[in-house]
Amino acid sequence: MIAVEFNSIKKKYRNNEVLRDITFKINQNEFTILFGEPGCGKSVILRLLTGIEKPDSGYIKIRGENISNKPVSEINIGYIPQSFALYPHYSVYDNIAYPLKLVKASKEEIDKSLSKIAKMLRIDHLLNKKPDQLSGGEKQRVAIARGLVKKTDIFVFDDPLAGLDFKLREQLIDDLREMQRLISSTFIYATSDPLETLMLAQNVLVIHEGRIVDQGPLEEVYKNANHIKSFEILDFPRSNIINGRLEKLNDRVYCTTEIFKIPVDIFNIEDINESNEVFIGIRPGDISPAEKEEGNMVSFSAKVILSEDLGAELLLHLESNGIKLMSILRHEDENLIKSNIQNFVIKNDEIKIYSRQFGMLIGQGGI
Amino acid sequence: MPDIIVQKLRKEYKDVVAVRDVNITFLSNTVTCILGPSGCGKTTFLRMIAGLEEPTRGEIYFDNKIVNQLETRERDLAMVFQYPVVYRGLNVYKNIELPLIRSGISINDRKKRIEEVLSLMDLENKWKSDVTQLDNSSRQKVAVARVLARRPSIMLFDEPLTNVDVETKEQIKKAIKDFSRISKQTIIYVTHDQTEAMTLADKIVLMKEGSIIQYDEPRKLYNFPNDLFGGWFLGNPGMNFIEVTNKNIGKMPNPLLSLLSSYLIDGNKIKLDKIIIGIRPEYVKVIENKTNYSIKCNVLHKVLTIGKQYLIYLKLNDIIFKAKVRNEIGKRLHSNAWIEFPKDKIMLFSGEGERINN
Repeated sequence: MIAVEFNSIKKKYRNNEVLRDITFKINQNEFTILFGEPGCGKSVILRLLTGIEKPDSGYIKIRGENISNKPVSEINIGYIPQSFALYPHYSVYDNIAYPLKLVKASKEEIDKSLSKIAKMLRIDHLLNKKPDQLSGGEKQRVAIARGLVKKTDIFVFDDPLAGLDFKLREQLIDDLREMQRLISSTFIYATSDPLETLMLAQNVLVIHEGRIVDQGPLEEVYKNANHIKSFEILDFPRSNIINGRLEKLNDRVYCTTEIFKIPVDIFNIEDINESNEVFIGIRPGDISPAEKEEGNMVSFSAKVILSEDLGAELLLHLESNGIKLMSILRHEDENLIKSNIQNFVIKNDEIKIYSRQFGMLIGQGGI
Repeated sequence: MPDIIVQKLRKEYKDVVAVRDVNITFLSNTVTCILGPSGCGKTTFLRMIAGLEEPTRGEIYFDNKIVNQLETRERDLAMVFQYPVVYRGLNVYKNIELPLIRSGISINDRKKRIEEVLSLMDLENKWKSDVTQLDNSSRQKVAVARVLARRPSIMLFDEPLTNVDVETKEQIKKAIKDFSRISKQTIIYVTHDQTEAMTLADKIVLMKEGSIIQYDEPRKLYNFPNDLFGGWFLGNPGMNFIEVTNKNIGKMPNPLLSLLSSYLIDGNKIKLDKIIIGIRPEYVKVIENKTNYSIKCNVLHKVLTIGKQYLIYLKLNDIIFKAKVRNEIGKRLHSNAWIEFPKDKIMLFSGEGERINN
């Protein structure tokens, strides 16, 4: 069953078009992430979804019903905001119980739902404390509990882990996944963080400049990103994007960049005619130090500008012929780096070719 | 350049103890990072060394000279803060030059030093700009450049990368790293970011709740944490912990028990109340087939993570733990996996959280 449907939604603030023809469907009980850079329009989608704002055109259906003329109170969606937004003079219990008191739930009902949620989020020992007695992670757990205590089947999260340090995020990511499984509801979650997206999403909508540029099951989008933007931002660290130029030589298409030249397979040959200038996308995890390339690889020499130690990985900042690139490798592969100027390889088919004009995937490295 | 020796240093604010009787020596010619979560006392610690906070008790020595009573300006040190401190109304060049003039450095020497740091920070084209016209990131570069040009005997950095953009982060890290290779200064760098600490430090001081938990080289701290906190705090995600007690020992598979061999009595009891086995997710070895040392686990789920690797959530009886594996291994995994815990990657901790194996 479809929980949420957006159809041809447009929204402008003065002359600023923030959503341009947004259409998508979200199935019931799935964890969907709206992923995009700050300002891409994902928070606007959440505001439309909760009914706080109305679209300029198009329609939104929730649980199959058009919400155009419905007041916010009848839409019934749980909302978890970005900042803690707790009432400082209320206890943790009263903060969480607040949405239930608003709908005049009985004391027994409140106690029952609240203790269940508090236990799941491991804050049941904090119910009598005030917010200023809590740590940052505990406060955000209380905010999440307040959103989740509502009697509904659709929950909306507006970047709830933004600004928290990464150890807190690590725990809360696991908690959120477990919560979604336990209460089997529809979770719609906006974030600009690629690791959160990779670790939580079943489905992802990649938003860029008010448009959906990619959507589908997370691994599909990651493996076959249709748009250069989703290829670039849906990875940690971000993917490398460099300029390339296509040329035909003896019936074979080649792509030349500042650092290598490779044969490429173009999916639709008409795409070449539109422009010879293309973007090349390469994931940092696909650039490896190696002495020699094999048949299906390209190789290039690069200077290691900075090597960052992530603990389990090494993040290398490279420069080759004026082009900056990032490479990431497991720490145990450190011995593959023999010197400051070093040979690196990339498998041809991991090199993706995108249209410079439209940003769409048009081909990949071939043999 | 002086070593900084800190003895029984303590700072209390009303009923809160921010720094708890710490003893440590920060070596000259060394970058030492003070690493810890927010609120652990690391900034207070740095500010006491700088003379910006008065200790409640304890002594700070620069070599054998006690400095507790000295004003900041008498300590021959410079500090970079979270937010850029720049002289408004002066251009970039003058901002860097001003402390050099005050230190009596000749005009030729000043010019040479300033050109050096402008190049290091990629500020060559901005030397004439008024600092008020620059964005926050460029201002922070000016603040760092000013300290590097001045070359005081002690340089202190308090989370200088918190409010700068990604490109500036890379530049400042590289500049500090390059500078520290050739300098003899005593550099102390405070951060909550383990990557910054692991990348920049020769030595790391790990802090928690006002106390020093461990002082070690970065890889040693990562691979051999002295206690559970170090195992948990470093790593993304942190170390897996598996608790073994005499109650649950019967459920533990033999390959896991063999890791505890020196703590076993009669092969089925442990000498302590509790032993905690720690292993980092990337060291959990996921293999295709059963071996003598392998353990069968359920795969709860798997997610893509840093650098195309997979993070696998595994279940063994009631224990859930994580393995971080290469892409080609992760994508082949379905409902079950055979895993091994390499003996040399295992840490054992007591119930109190202290490491008990070598």
